[in-house]
Amino acid sequence: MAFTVLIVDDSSSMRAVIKKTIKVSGFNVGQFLAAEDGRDAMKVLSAEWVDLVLTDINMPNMNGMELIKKMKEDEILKTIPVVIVTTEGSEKVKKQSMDLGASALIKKPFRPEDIRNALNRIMGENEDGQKDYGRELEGSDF
Amino acid sequence: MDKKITVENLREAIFDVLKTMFFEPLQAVEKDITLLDWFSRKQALFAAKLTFSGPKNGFFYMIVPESVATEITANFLGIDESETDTEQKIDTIKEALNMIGGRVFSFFDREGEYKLNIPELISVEAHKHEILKKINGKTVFIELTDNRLAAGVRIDT
Repeated sequence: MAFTVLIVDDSSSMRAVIKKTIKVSGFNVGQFLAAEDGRDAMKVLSAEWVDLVLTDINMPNMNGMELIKKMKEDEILKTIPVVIVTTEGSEKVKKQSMDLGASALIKKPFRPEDIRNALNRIMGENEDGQKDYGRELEGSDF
Repeated sequence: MDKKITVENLREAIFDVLKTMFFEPLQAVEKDITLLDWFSRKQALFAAKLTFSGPKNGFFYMIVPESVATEITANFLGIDESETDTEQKIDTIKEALNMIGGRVFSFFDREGEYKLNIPELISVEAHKHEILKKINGKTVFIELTDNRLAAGVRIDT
């Protein structure tokens, strides 16, 4: 099955790099959608079915944490896995991300395998319906 | 300068970011160069600024000649240098500085006391006095092929 992936970042260059990284990682992505911030992402999510969201935190208008909070308030959107891709990697941010229900946190700068490993795990989780936030993953901070 | 935000941290952050995301072979410049050299050069410069707040407030900045902006943008996006446009270069410089700032704090700010703001493009001409007068500490100069980039941090006192 081909996935639809939403990439949320106020940097168009970073969105392009994340898209390219996912493509070369071999995931079966049918469609890439883009949003410049959380507010823009909510508009996309209300109009399109999305299988996975990758979001930055530090963005204007609505940041990544606020986006996840909004998504978790919605009965349908709360089921969509969210991967945070950010320059912020403090313990406080990691804990906040986990508490909000993010599936993984990838720190910028990242290696292609960081994204590949996180997506591999998340897509697997979706198949068996389980999450394991406590597991230490290569390339992921959760 | 805040003892936790050091030139060594900044240099390491620049190396990490440029090597990992921009595939740039680089080395620190040990020669005696000042920021004034940059402003006296007859070349187009791109500059970005990233303010932060926390136990100390201040900003990171990065200045690159257009040729370096073109080079790292092409590497970042995986396209030919001739395909890069100004908007992409600006966006890439801002994102590079964003990653460098985040990397600097990752060396010591485990509790997330510092908050990075949104990176912005700055006019070198308009800000040179602000940068030159208020800078507190050394600027790191990095060699990229035949060009250099300058990056630094200013801490409010």
